[in-house]
Amino acid sequence: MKQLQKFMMFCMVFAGVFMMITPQQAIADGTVSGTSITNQATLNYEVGGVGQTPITSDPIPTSFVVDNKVDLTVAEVGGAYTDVNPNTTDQVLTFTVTNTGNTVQDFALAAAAGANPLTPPRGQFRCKQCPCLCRGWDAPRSLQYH
Amino acid sequence: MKRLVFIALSILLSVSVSAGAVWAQQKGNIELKAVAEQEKEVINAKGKKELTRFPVARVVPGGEVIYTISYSSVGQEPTDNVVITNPVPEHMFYLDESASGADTIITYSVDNGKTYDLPEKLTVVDADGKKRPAKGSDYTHIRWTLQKSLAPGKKGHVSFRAQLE
Repeated sequence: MKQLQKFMMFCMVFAGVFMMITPQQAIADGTVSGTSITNQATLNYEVGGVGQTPITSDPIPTSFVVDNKVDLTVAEVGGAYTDVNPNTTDQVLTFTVTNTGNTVQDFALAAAAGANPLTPPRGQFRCKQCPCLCRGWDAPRSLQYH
Repeated sequence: MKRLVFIALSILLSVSVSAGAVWAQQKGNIELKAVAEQEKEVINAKGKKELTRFPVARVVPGGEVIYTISYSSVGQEPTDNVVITNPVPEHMFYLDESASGADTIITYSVDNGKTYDLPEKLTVVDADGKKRPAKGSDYTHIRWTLQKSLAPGKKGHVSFRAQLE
């Protein structure tokens, strides 16, 4: 029963959730985007036992640019479920956003109800008003509408 | 008049010869070209997967780049003691055992090109003062020493792989 209560609270959180994101300007990971990486080989040689002027590779130099790696992690602060009482609003979930890319980046995040982590085990709940066996996701709804 | 024409022709010839000398000096006896590429998997005409290389313009951190240095003898005389040296590019580290080159001895430097040796003989000193065998990521330079003279018209290539930090 305690598990069922938690499940219902979870649903209510997503009925009126305000998600607060804690912005973090994390240190970029890897070589900063836009950096030019150059390379040049040199060849030394002799002709008839006499050292010649060293030759450098062409094109001078070979180069490419470091691209932008967009990467981030989002983690709920505390890493635990948030208990919410029924019919309460203005509940807050706090997340940290860490930029694990290689550029200072703006992120826009939106909250969405994910998969229910508190799905009751199949066949575990019975309705109070009828003898039917309510299963899985249907359990709380059945309880609500019977 | 004849004297003036002679002087003008002399000047013209002199300029041409000196220009040619400069061009020859810049060109040298060997042409050296370098290319940076990456590999990607494609499906070929037979429907099988194969790796193909493409010139690289942009790379994300962690990306692997293949450097190929091609040499070609363009002079009239054979060249001896040919040595190709390539510093590991800044912000990249050498990938172990990736260097190759036919008929070459490959040595590496861990001290910014001051000394070179075979991998098994290279050591570095850690931050805590302890000596340990050098890893590919410790290498600062790669050197290929050709074991044969390079005859006129002959060509070859050497290569190595590095990863962007």
